[in-house]
Amino acid sequence: MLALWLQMMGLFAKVSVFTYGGGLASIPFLYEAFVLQLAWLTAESFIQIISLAQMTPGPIIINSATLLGFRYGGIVGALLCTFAVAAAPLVIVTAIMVLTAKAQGSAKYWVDRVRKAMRPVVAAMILASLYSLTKPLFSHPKLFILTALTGLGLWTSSFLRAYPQLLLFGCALLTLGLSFLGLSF
Amino acid sequence: MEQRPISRLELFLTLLRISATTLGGGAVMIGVMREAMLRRGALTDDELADMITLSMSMPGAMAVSMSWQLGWRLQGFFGGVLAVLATLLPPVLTFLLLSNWLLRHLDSPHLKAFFSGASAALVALLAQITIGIGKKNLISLPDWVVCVLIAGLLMFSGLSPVWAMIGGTLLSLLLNGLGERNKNQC
Repeated sequence: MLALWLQMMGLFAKVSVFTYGGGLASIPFLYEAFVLQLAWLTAESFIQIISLAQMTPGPIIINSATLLGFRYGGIVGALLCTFAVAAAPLVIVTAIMVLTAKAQGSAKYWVDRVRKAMRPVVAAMILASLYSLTKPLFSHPKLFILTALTGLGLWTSSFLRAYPQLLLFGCALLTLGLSFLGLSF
Repeated sequence: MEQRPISRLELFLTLLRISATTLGGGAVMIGVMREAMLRRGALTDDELADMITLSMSMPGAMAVSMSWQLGWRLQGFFGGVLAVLATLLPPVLTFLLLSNWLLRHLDSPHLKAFFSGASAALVALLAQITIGIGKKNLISLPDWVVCVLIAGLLMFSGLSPVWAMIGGTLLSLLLNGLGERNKNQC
């Protein structure tokens, strides 16, 4: 069991360090490892697991580590894989945090300059994720009514801006209720 | 802006609440965390912008890197550990408890309806977050040029995020550098 746990931890640490740009980017790596190399999963059950990981709250890569770790290594496996997938990239993040905080003189000048230069790219990445979130809604244009109402709520109420999750669950429960009345979304 | 330190318990509970209730992925989580920290006056917009930049430019789940930095900055190493735990606990628990039930109902139209409603609201929430971060991050004309260009390439040409980050940063250094030189000459 120990060997299996270590193997899975190593695998997830590797996937999370080499994954860049959001959880979706990790899917091909996980597919390669679990379906093609280890052959622990069929393509179908892999797709099921990934759609589950996307649905539940939390980062996709963390969710897939929890689920796959649980399936093959029990509860300890789930916790170890989750730890590996979360901690590995933090080593890099911490190194950069410490180094940039220590920078002085011209090194500090360049750290600040590069950081500032990255900001528009960060804005672009968030804009791109907004686009990918919006795209699927075009097949159900009536859902945009909820988008508009949520926008109105966020715009007018500082309480809702502080607790936007109320709007998320409000809209989700509304469509859930409507689905029981026979409407499909 | 005067900074009000935030206790470890308050940090833990805030991140736990955010992580347990926010659907929709890393960018949304980061935006909601930013809003919560700004509202409490725990960190400045500038510090948060630097943390967001590091979370998004490095590998790993963005929400985890962001909470790690928040915790570390506000309460040291153990603060970081607590913050990451707060972010990880809700999805891990939900997952362990609900995964069997969800796997059985994956094709249910009701489950689909629930998530459709949530994603309709998420579009508005992420739009608000995008505007907030855009206001902070886009100052000069070159910033706007870089943002529009890189966003366009990411959306429509399938440019990989690694190259978007490297290329976008270089372009932004170059354009902002040129702008600065012109200003100095005037």
